[in-house]
Amino acid sequence: MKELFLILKRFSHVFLFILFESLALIILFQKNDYHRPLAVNALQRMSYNYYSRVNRLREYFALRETNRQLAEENARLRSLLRSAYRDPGKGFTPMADSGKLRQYEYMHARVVSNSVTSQYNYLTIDKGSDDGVAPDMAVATDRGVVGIVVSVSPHFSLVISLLNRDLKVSGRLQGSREPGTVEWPGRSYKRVVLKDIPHDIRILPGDTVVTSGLSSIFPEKLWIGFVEKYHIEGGSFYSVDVLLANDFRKLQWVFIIRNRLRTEQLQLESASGR
Amino acid sequence: MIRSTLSYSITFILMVLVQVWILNNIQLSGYINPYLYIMFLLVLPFEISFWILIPAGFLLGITIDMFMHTPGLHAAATVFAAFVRPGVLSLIAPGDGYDSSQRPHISTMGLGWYLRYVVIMVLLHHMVLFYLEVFRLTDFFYTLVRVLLSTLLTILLILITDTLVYRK
Repeated sequence: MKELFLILKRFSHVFLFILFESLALIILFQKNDYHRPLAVNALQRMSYNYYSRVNRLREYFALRETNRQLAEENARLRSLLRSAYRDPGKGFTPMADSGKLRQYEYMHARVVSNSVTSQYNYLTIDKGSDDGVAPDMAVATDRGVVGIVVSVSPHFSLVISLLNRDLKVSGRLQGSREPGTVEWPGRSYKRVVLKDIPHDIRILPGDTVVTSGLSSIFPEKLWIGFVEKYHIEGGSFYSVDVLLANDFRKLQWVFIIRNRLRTEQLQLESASGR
Repeated sequence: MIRSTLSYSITFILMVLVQVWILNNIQLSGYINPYLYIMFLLVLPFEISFWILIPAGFLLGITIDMFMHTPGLHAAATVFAAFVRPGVLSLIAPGDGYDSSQRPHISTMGLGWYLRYVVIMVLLHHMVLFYLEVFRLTDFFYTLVRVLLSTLLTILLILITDTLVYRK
């Protein structure tokens, strides 16, 4: 008994190390998907406020770029106006927008903190539950997918970035119907990979990769990026390297996209036992 | 005793704040990020007991984790760094051992000793951190490059901080 006690004492620091190291590893490997609850505590709120302030400064330096993007988007939106179309003539009446059911609602938000250097990147935006943001809403810019809201506080939301190895998004090549999986291999912040594309599909470098719309989160045909190169993986599937449309290092303004029919869709799907 | 505990607590807070408020916001190339916060474990006194060192390492890591949304990752790396510190110190001990009145800084121990100490400690910490984050061996060399680049940057920052803050 006395010897046992001596051994314990002799190796006490090793036991102490094992104790704390296993504690850390348990916390680390407990997460199995990105929906693990992330506590928004007082410390974090403090850092959000700071980020907001730093960001105001950073925005100033990015004014030129932001202006350019806004001008581009204005032009794009103008081209969608009805006045930009010619009168189709007598045959059919122009489509009545008011008769359509609006499925997606957009709200803009500012990025207050962002990272691209980790393997599991997140960003924080300055709209929260008080503004109607809830987990599982899509986040994008006019250039394409950014991520998905994972948790909200009254004034901020935490968004899992597309540059996070836990996030997988359903995507496809524009012009084909075959969906694949878009994921980040954890290397460059400029590239993601589109997997599981059947090898009988024609791909050309420069082709646009868009969201497939096969989830209740992202609308269809939202940009993700452009094909850079591709190779066959696992026999009959292509693995496509995709150059991201967004520059994730310079994200400033994003939209939050709310799917108004999501609850209905999920209810139906769960009711039929899916 | 109370005074030094207080001053180390302030060091702790400052290190964490500099890390999460400044360094995590500087994205140098998208590939590397310096982790200066590990310097807190390096400046602790030579004779500090394991019973304080390892819990302090855990506390440091888990605090950083809270800000970076990486629960457990930095904690695992800092606990490891805290565990190896006494071993590293005895490995590079000068011939006549350490004087308990001395503190581990350039001004007291000299640049040669300090460089050896910092390189070994930062490298070990970054290795555990980056490989645990990637958690696969397919990208072994790519991750190694990231480890080395970030290590270099962290060491540079530690040397600058030590020179500026811990002058005689």
